[in-house]
Amino acid sequence: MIPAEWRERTERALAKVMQTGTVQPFESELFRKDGTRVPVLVAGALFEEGGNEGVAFALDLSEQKRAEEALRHSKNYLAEAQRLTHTGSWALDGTTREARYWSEEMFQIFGFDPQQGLPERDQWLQRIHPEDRDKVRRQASNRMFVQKVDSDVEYRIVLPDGTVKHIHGLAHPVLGPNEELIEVVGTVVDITEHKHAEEARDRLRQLEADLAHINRVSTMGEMAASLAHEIKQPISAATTNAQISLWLLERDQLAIQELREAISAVMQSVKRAADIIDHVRTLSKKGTQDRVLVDLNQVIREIEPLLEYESRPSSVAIRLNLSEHIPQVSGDRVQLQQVVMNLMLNAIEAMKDSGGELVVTSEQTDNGQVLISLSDTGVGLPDNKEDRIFEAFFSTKPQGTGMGLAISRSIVESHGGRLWAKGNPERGATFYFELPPHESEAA
Amino acid sequence: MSAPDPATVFVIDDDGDVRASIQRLLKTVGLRGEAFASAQDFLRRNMPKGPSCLILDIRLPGMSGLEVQRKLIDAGLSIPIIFISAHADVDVAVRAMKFGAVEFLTKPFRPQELVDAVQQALQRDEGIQREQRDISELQQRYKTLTPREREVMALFASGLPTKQIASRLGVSEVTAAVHRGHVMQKMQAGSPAELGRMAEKLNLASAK
Repeated sequence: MIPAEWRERTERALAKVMQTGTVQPFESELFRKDGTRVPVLVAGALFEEGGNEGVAFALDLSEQKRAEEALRHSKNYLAEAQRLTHTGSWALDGTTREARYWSEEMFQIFGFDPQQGLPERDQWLQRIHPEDRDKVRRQASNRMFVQKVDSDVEYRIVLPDGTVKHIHGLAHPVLGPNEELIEVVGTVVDITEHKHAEEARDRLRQLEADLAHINRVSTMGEMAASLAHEIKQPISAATTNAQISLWLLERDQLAIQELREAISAVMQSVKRAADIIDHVRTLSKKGTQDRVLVDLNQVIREIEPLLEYESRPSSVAIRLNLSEHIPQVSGDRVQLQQVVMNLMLNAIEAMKDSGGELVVTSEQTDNGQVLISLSDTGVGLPDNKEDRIFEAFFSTKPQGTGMGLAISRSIVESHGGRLWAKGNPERGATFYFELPPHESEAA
Repeated sequence: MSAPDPATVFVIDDDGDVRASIQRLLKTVGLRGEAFASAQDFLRRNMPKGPSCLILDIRLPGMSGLEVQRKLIDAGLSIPIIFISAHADVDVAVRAMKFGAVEFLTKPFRPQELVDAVQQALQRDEGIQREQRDISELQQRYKTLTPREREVMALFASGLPTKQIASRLGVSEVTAAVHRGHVMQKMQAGSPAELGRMAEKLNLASAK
């Protein structure tokens, strides 16, 4: 009945019983009739010392063993899950506030050796980044121990080798029948990778903003350069022909025919120069075939995050006050984006040194127009030059091309709208642009 | 002496107004102009006999002004170039001048400046042409020398006195002097110094 490897142990136990009258229970195995083994707990005792009558029992441990096995498995699964999700769990005593339990992953995340036992509260606090330590301590003592409510906190930890990890911690107080704090259980998640991805996303967004800015500047720069190149040709020809006319006049004998030709050429070139300028003006009206339905709220919402990079260092807050009931407009989406971007960038630049708030409002006016206003608390409009700011090449900024507002106005006008500005009574300025709603076209 | 060949001013600019105005300007100051809308049209033309220069726009369709300059240099054509450009691009101007341009004018230029530059360019080309004519004339004369006379001329050009020339050639001093006389006569040199300059122009390596 007793498997060979357990025989010696059993015999020793028997000898012990005979000698001392009792034996400590021990685990062993027995054969069943069908030959399978069954784990048992065996113990025995004599009725009286030195006698030869007694009792022995073998307790079937099968169930217990199965339960142990199942527990070990689920512990392993839990540990595996914690490793995979970088999640550690812990529990601490409600009274002593010292740790009661740390999961394996908890030790791993905080860089403690499980062989050394549970770290003390101070040791654990030391691992928290000095800049975040107070925050964590406040959260812990206030929410967990005083208010006895769940807490949720993000912080950084610094391992002895200098590695910085980002941690997201959750804690839940377990209360007794009289609302007394029994223990606090919680989890920590290592969100370092997630944080890095977030930072990468931020950098990408910053790049996008840079690009949008560069794009705006270079488009205007190129336009100005090509305009300059084009217009210098007829000016050059006119200058030459005018000089020829003068030389011809200085001669003793007037060459009427030649003079007439030279002066006609001057007029022709000057007209061509004017045509080039007209052509540039009509360029912005060219996009009529690309008209689509545009939701200006959406345009504003898309551009706002792109400008965070511009606004944040200047401590400019951007607030959107958008009416959900404005109709869509029909227009060139890219051009309208450019207008919104130009006006928002202008507002931010106006508050660059002082900081302030930019409020972008959308609404429908009484006569059905879609009105967007951008109000800033910046330097305001130049004195007595309110009307000139929309002129091409007028700029109050050292790096300005003086084209932003001129282009914006011509875009808005080519969409059948208006763009204007007013100084605010106290500080800053408000720029308005108004566009006809799409519905009115159908009506 | 034959009448000098007339000067020609070439103009390459794709802008019709500019082209016509420069043509008229040249005519007004009594110069013969020939204008082209592209570099390709110009390059197909044979170079004239008389002095010439080229007024060249930087930005051209197909081949840029700088490329035209490069092509002319590579082909061994020394026609002086005056660049005109609507862009005051310093880098381009520096490159153009480095490769021997006479002037770099930005549009709108002062017509007088262009006329001055054209005069200067034509003078430069005339000088170059005269030089080339002189050299080919000297080459003709040099061809009439006998091998021995050519030897004497080379030694003479390197500054050796007749006595040493005689000993180098293994002839008597009198014979050497006779040779020298023939060389002077055939090369039409008025003095030993002039003969030296001629040898220099002909690039006769001094045989030492």
